[in-house]
Amino acid sequence: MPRYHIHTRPAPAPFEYPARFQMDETDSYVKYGHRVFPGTSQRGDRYWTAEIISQTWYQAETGRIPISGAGYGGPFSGEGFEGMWLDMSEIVRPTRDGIHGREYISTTVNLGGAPELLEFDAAAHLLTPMPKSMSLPLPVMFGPLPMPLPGRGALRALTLAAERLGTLAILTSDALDVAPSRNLALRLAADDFDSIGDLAQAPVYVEIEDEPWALERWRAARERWANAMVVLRHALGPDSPTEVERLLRQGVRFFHLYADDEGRDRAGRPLPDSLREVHTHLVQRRWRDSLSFLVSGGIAAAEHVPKIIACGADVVVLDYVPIIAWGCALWADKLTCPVEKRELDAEWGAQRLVNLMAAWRDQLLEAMGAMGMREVRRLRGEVGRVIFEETESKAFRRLFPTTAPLSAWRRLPEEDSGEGDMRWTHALVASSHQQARDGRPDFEQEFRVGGSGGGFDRLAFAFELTDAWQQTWQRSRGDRWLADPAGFDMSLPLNRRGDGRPRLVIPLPWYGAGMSFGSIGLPVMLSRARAAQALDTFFSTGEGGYPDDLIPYADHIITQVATGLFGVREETIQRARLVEIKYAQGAKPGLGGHLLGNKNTESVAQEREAVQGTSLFSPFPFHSVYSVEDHKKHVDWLKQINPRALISVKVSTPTDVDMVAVGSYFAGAHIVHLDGAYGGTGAAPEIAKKNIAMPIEYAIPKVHRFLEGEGIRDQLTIMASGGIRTAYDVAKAIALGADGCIIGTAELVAIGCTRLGSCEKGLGCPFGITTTDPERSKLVNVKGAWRGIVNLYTSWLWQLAGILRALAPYGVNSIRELRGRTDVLVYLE
Amino acid sequence: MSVENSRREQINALLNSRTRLVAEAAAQPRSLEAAEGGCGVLGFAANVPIAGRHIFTASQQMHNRGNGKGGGIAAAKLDPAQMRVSPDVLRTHYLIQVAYLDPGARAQVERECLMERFDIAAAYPVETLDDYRAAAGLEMRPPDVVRYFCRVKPEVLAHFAEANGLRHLPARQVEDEYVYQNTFRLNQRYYASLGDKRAFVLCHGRDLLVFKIVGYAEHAAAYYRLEDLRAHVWISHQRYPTKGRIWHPGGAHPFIGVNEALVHNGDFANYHRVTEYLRQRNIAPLFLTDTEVSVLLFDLWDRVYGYPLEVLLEALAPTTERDLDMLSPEKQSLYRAIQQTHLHGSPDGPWFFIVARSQPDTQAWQLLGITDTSMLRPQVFALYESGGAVTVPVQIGLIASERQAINACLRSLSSEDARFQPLADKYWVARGGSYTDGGSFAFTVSKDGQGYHLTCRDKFGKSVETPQPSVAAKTRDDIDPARTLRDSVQGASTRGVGQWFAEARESLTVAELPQIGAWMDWLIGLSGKDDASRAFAINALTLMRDRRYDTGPKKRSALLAMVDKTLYRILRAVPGLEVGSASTHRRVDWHTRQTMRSPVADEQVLVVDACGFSAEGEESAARLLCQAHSLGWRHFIAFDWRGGRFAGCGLGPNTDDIRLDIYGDAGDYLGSGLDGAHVLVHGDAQDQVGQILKRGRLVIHGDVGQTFLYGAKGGEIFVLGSAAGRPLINAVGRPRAVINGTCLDYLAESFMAGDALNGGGFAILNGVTFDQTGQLIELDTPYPGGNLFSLASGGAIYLRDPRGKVDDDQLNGGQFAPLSDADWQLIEPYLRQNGELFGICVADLLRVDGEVQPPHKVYRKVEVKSLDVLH
Repeated sequence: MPRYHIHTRPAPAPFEYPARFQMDETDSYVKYGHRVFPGTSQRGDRYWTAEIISQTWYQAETGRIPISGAGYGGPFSGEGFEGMWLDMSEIVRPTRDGIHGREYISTTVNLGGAPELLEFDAAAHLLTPMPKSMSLPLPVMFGPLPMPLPGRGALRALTLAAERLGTLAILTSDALDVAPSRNLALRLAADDFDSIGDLAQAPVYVEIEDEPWALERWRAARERWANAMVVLRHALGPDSPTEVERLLRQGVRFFHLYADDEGRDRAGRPLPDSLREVHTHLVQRRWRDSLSFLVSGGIAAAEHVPKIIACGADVVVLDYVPIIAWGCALWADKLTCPVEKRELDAEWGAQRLVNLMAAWRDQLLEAMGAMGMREVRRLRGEVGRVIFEETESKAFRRLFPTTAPLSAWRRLPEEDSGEGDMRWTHALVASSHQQARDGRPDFEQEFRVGGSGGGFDRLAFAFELTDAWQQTWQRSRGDRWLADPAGFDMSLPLNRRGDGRPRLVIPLPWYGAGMSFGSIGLPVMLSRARAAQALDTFFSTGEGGYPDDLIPYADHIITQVATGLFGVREETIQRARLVEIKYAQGAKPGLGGHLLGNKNTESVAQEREAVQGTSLFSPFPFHSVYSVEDHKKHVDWLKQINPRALISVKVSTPTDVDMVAVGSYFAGAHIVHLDGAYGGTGAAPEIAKKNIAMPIEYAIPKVHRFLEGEGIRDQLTIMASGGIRTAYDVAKAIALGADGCIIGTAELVAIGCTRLGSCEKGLGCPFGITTTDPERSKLVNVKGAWRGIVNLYTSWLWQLAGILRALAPYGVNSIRELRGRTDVLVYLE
Repeated sequence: MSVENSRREQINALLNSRTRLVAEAAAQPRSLEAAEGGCGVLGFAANVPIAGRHIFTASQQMHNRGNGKGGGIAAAKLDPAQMRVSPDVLRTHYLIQVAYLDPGARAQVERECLMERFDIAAAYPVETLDDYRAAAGLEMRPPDVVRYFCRVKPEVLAHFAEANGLRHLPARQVEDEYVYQNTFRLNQRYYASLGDKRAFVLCHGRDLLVFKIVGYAEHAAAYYRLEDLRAHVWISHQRYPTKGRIWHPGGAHPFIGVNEALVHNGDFANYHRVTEYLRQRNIAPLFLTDTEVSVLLFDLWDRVYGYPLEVLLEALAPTTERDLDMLSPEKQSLYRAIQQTHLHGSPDGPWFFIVARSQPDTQAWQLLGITDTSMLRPQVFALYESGGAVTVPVQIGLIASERQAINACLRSLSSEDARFQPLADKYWVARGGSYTDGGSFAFTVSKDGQGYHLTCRDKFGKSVETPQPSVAAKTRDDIDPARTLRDSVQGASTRGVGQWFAEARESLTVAELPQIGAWMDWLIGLSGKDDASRAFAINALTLMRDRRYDTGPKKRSALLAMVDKTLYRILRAVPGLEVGSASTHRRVDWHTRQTMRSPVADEQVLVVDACGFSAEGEESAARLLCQAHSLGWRHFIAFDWRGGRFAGCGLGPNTDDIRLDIYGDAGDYLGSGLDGAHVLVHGDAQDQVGQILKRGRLVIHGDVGQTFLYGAKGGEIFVLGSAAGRPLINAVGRPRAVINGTCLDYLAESFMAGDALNGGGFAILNGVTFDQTGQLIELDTPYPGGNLFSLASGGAIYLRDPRGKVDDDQLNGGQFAPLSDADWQLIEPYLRQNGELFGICVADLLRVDGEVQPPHKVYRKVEVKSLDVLH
């Protein structure tokens, strides 16, 4: 069986296409949480968002998966699919990087069921007759068009694409003229059941609408087309578990379960919840494995496929997605929708669908790879590998003895402009720039929180709700809430094991995150190095080693050992006081580093000893670490090479992150570095940024409390990263249970980053920050840039000191006493 | 009703009989799955009974694969006398062991779950140490264990069969099921459902014993006094759970079905899904680890469904991709049916199982090693059969996470029993989910007219044999090979050891083992004479170890064992650092490590006795080497290495003047980070060898394990044997490797080593091995796996593939190209060096069917293909 491969190519428009649909450059920049670009704001609605529509267009056009830099900028969570994160694996279960085709991951599903068990004769020959089954290389089928489109082009495009993809396009009885030469799939309504007449070919798939006479028709169809899968359509609702059970007892084995076009069942519940209920019920009644579930309604994006399969689907059926792929922006511009205005070219339409499905398949591979799964059939019902916001947030809220209404907490003014995103609002970016200039916040704009609607942005310190605070805040005399950090102990010991290795202590509770030479250029690296030296702290090289110009700063450089092992040599390990093993990166769990060819310049290639101009993929995971005892061996190896270094273990935040932390303790690590999903990155697929692993806010207390329970909390240093934007975020992370934080994006913002998110495109950042282009990187002036970082951090220290002063009544006098004090936080409802 | 139907209905009746049981279990509140960690696993099966202490010494050497939070053992085919029952009772009765965490629970458990239901032939508490603290390192008192030999009372069984419609099933099958359910009920009631865990069943099969402990496996041995317990099949497990403070051993391995016990290294990615599969068959886990779920799957497919072993293995680890295509059409259609039926319920993620299985009715006992399809956990198999024509040979098959554990076990056995020797005849690694061996092997002990014997078969039933020595050629009475060998040494030190070997080779072939032994004794005496004689003896023995040649009437493994013994004796006789001596060689060992100092005068070679050092950390031999290096030593001979890790790591940059010779079982990460030094491994190497290797020369006179040369930047590397999975992954710069055997999979994935013809890196894969007479022979295929040169953007692979056996399907990104003259000019010098190191002539490599061919007809090049994804 050859490796299933989808050939993509641009879909050339054979004729002038309606002017409204234009795929322009900005379309590939539309990212979650970013303000949509001018001209695009009219796209979509609450459910079929502008991001979904633009990204669908991009994928249909190019066949590629949406990738961008600078991390996730969207909302914290939502309901339905937005309230689910896929779990990922690290250390104890290797993930595999399926996106780049190096690992075998099967996306094939079987339709047609299987016997419960096999029987053999005495000579071990198989006796059981196998039921006819059809295998689809992708767990996706096309449903009938949900709205009429002019002409036959759209229908032809659907059947053509299905043919090329090896899947089915379900046709209604009025579309038989476009039937494919084989694999005819039909949806029969009650009234055309008798009128349909003789078909030129026997269908392989027939679905019957669930209504009073459905079972009778279902039986008739089974008799009429003995070889076809006869499927009953059923609208999901609260009674579905019992209803499906009733029907299966009548012999029905295939169900097409559907929700409405916004993914809601008859009672308005989100599709994932509704489907899970049916699936779980049937597992308990011992029926599930004898049934096939096709599921539709509100399947809008690539990430919905693995999510709904984990909730119990076998195959998803698409309704609106093809129409969007052809250029429709749905309701917003319904009146002028290009797809509805004239017939489309079938070839063109089919190729766009093929392209889109190719991109979806790659994203399915990415999600399964991150989960460490190699068969989509094993994902069905695997809710163990899904993180539900509902469950997690319940546990999270329990951490806080007090809650307050969101309105009780006062935001500072926020200018509304096109810049920034929901996590890094315009105000946050601007105030960070201002602090990098002045060394203190000016209280003119919101500098503490962003607008993601969850996590840190929903937490406040109890004193922030006091009258004193509210009054001074109102009168813009906020600087009363700053204090001289000299009066407070802000130091952070990095080695608590007492294992004879150096007892490193840094004077402030954070240090710089890993950014590779390749993702950023030399001036930015030097700026970070000088800032780390000035503050007597650290910064990490990231993957890829570092140029000799940085050797003078070696005492402040963390050598990162990442999965590509680029630039990692005995001497760079021996030079470092702190060695960081990067198992995973929160922003793209399940993927290794990815340096696109055009950023792999001569100097980068030289540092990495690779071929210039080729894209450099780091594998995922470490191929020498597939389990926790391998992890110990890995830590021991670095300790052997450098007997004086401390070892930090950087992991992302899967649901068993607490186990990973305990395993790291037993492996002999000094620091466990939890990297949440919001961190910046040079280049990461959108699907990974948004959908995999849990937010850092949930991971910190989970690990902190578990280690406390184990009695080993004080032997490990927990560092949190991935979305720590402000001094208030730092303080909140510590109050949640971290010892300190690791800062990436904020340092770049201090240098001038505006979170444009085009780090990976072309030559990289137009402001010279995330680029290795020798000319562009000159835009960053080391002299000014390192001071910017120091100023921002000084401002943070003043704020932290102010927070500590305000927390004195709560018995918190040092940064170390703040750790784990969730009682000083208030959850804003 | 057809026969087939009735069979299925019987199975359904069996599963349905559990409905109430499972419903009760499901009603209990459950925490989420218990996270499982990694582990060290070891097992063996022999045709003679073996005392427990041998497995414990070996598993002690894998402490670094556990964390002392869970250990366990299983033993099958026990000694009736030790069990205090008759052979008949041992065969027919269930051996139930109940662990009483709360000793007060015993009366209640016996009353409720045992006495009324079973006829008990024997029952007694298992002997323990008086004080658990006497087992050094044991932190808490293990539970009391009571052993019962019993059968279900006939009337109870009849009632059970009647009530559940099981009358048509064979009585033993019904009884098995009853025992299974009874245990489930007991565990549910006294272990799973209550907050306080009071008692649980350790085992309940026939002729199969299980102990588990919070601690290391050998703690179980010490506390329950299992050192002298004899059994034919043993498995042991060191657990590294990531779930925290564990105070009860229920979660430790092995887990049981009925007549099988399973240990596991790995972690499922789809635990929940597998439990859903089981739930639909009325099976509910109680201990919430994926190991328990594994054995429940195994038990369902084995005992309940009655699947043939091959079917069961395919259901667990499905064959996919090219491996499926390579099977016969009949096999493919069978496997597709199995996959269609079972894929939804098969485990995903990394796992490696060792199963001990007792089949008393057919008088067979089995040890199975099963790998997942991606071979993500380390595993080594070995087989040994004693020589000698008179008696029935002693046979033992072993499976472990590391080769060193196998050797530790054999060493322990051979120290007590002359029929064993410290090295196995054959070691190999399974290719998970493959068409070649199916990724699993079964060692079966069974009885025939002559007594017990052991067979080893792969998934497809193909037998694995050990190489047998040729019948001794009649030598002339007046020729004494020992004497010829003695004579050959005369003046050899001036001729060079290579010359000596060439001359002595024939005598080495014809000599019998005792004659070799006599000569070696003489050699020991000679080596004491002066530095030159000692150096000669060391080099001569080294060559006897490194080279592949006809060993005549001796087994190669026996000869090697003798070489090692002699060599170690000679090395142990080297004067220590603390004594006065003018010798060029000085020795240091665990006891004298504090005497480490700089070399003085003519001292050149530091001989390190690696025995006794810890496997890693400050007390390891690897650290001692670094210390010695910093004190000025440059030439090292390290011997009797016992699995210690990181040899040659941490020496620092620019170590071109270092030479390190390693004898014994060098552990993982050997030479990882090497920057200039010359390291020679006189035997096989393990996993993660040469990671980030930058410069230097690494020579391995044997096989090498997983992820060899990961992220390497350079160096010249020569391997006599084969590499396991994923060699050279992500290597950059200019590493140049010659591998004479093959690689299992993923060779040179993401290779980025520039342009091979322009200073970049490459790997040569020769795909050859030696037959028993030392002749070079081709392997079935130079490369059996897939993903060759996958997604590579630099470097090249040179494949010796004169018959064009490797095809495009095995590539994933690269492309074949003919071998150019420039290519040949590049690789020929490396092949020549390869020849000097291993005695493999370039002409022999170019010979195909007896004819020397031009290079381009023998070698093929795999080169970079321009890929979209790379730009």
